[in-house]
Amino acid sequence: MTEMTARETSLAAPGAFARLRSLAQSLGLLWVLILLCAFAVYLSPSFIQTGNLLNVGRQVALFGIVSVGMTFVILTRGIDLSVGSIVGVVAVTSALMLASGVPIPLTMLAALAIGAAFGAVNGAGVVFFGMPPFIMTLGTLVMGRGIAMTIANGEPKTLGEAADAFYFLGGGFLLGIPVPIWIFAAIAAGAFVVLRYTPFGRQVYAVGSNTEAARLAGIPVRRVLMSVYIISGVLSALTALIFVSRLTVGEPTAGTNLELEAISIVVIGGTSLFGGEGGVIGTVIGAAIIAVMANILNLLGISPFTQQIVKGAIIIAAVMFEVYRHRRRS
Amino acid sequence: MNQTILEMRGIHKRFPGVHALNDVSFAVRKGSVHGFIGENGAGKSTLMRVLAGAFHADEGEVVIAGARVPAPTPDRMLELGIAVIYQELAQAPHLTVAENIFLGRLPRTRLGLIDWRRARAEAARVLDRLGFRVDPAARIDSISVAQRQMVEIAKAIARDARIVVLDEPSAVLGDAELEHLFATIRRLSRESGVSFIYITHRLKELYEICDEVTVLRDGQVVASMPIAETSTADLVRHMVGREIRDIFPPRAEAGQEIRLDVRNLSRRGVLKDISFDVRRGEIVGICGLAGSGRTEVLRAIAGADRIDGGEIRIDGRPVSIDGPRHGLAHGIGLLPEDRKTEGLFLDQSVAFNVTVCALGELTGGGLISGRREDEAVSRFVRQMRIKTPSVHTKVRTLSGGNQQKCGIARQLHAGTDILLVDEPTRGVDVAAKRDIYDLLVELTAGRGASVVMVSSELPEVLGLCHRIVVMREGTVAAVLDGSGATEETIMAHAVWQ
Repeated sequence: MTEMTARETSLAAPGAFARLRSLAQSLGLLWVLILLCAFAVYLSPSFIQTGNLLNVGRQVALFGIVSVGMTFVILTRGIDLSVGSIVGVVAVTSALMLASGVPIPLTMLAALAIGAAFGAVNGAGVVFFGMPPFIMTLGTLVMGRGIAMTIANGEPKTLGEAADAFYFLGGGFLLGIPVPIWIFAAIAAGAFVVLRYTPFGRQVYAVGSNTEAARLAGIPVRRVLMSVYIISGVLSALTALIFVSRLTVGEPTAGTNLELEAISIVVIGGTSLFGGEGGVIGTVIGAAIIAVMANILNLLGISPFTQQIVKGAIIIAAVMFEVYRHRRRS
Repeated sequence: MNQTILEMRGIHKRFPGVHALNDVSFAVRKGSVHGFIGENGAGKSTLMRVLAGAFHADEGEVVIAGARVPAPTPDRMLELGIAVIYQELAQAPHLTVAENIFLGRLPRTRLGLIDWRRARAEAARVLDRLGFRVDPAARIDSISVAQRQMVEIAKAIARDARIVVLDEPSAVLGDAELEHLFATIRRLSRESGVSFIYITHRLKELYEICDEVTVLRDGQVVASMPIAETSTADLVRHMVGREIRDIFPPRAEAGQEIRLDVRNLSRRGVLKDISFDVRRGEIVGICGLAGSGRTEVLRAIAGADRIDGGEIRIDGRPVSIDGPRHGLAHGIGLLPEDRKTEGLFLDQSVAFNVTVCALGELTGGGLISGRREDEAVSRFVRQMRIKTPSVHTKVRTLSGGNQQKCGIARQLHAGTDILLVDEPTRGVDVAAKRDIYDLLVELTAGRGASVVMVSSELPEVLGLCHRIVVMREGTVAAVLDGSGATEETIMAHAVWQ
């Protein structure tokens, strides 16, 4: 009996090691982040001023929430290009609802429902009509922006009297920390637990690793795919609410190019575009890296145009590393 | 005629957990046809990939026309006149026959543009010389598999190949087409001095076409000699290397109670009126040639493919199985034919692969308990002798046999008691094969499960199965008693009389 337990632990022990190693990989990313922060401090001590840090944190939160949803989608080997347009649609609809006196909780529920509906359309296209996710969500990206523009007639919509009451969500503080950061922390933690410790999380990885094997293993592939697009849609809607709250205006152009930010964050965070590998920790660190990088470039006084060049190069480097790893394996 | 054109000496190739080629040496004479025979997994394909430069041998050397090839790469081997025609033909389906023949080296005009007229004319000349009636302007996807094989040979000849390797052409060719291929081989070898390496499963073909034969077993050459000096019995003995029955555990009596009853199962164009039953504790084999519908029967029962007609009963009750999920809920589990593309999640851990379809019992409050999972999986690893450094090791890094065991462990963990296994020992080394046989017997005799096994290895069907369903062109040709059947009786039912 003792012998058996010994053998069991001997089998499990290298597992702990493997887990440590995968943690170390995220930690590798963490080192990049720490070095970046150190560099930022060296450049300008004002980096660690509370105001600046909170700004960076707020940006991490905003992009991070959408990126968590994107992580789910990319883990299934999909992509969701429509997130930015969902933000646009939800921004104008929620602004209009608030302005016309719909209560805040009801507005928020409706907003999340709109996000979910968009996600469901994306999911249905992929699942029932076999559309490639890239094309399906490219379609809803274009349509969504058109819908936002049509509803708002191309103009920003103010919130009217509700603006002050609604400001807490995006602009308020809790224990000295901006509310969006709390929201992001809760969502990231929840997503981490779901992906790592629930059967649904396992199924997400299974579908992304090998869709046909997942189907033959009795995994509800369609339900899983539907779910990840809906998750992505809902988190996009939440981001829109935060935008609207903080800016006290619903702009039809809100969230433009957000999909590019989110995809970059997820990829830099080490989640594989080939599906089935990666996770939320990487995405959180990826979001922080992008935000700190932008902050450094600002501190250096580099023009926004040049910043884009740098960011593009970083994305290519991250994906190159990923492709290289894949090739070495096979 | 006696000049040696190709020699491979002391070739070793190791994969994780498998010594795929162990000190393989042989020589091919100019203008001869050299046969290779051996069981699945004996190392034939690996050896040919080494010859083609696609795999690097760990040790050993390749000598062509007396000169050692220092660093074999695919390009180098092509230049030296080696052409390997794989079972799955590597062709560009949307291109024409002529383009395929001159793929990558189409003739050019003086302006550097492709000279289509010359390409077609030259392709037609090569095809004509070989006596192949194929239109050089036809697209590859519009011609038959046999014609594609011809195009591949034409491509090799057009490149002045000196050694052409044919990897089981008879698997895809009909009798008449095969006869034509043989005539071509004879003519090319005699008249043009081209040497052939002919890989096959079928003894009869060796005697028809080959001058010499080399028998591979478990990655080693066990015999290499002129075909005239051998007998069929010798070759079989060399291939198997043991009395066939020895490696199979003794067959236990099956129960009486019918667990799975398949009635008139049909799927348009694939399966027609398939009926058979499986009892508790019984292993039923399904045999038939490639394309006879063996795999399709299993997939239909498991719910992987839709069915158009017929009925499946479990314990006497008709059930409708809409998708693999339903199958699993009824205790039916499928171990698919291709474990890499349909079975496993290669980049996930052993534990992930084993538990993925039955996570329910490992969760408490909606969360998976890592400890409980590790314990459950460790138990399978131990019982099934899965050789892995840890339950968290990626399945990709395991050998074929251990990967297959992971697939079976998944079914056991999910509690399936009607197990449908498709080629369970393909690409699996001998020791792991024995483990898998023991396991299947343990499951049936020990635990009363029912197993349906599709296999193209007749010895294992004969050694394990209580009854054997022989299929032919999507129908059941015969149901034989396992203890009375022989390879000959099975084959007699499997082919058209």
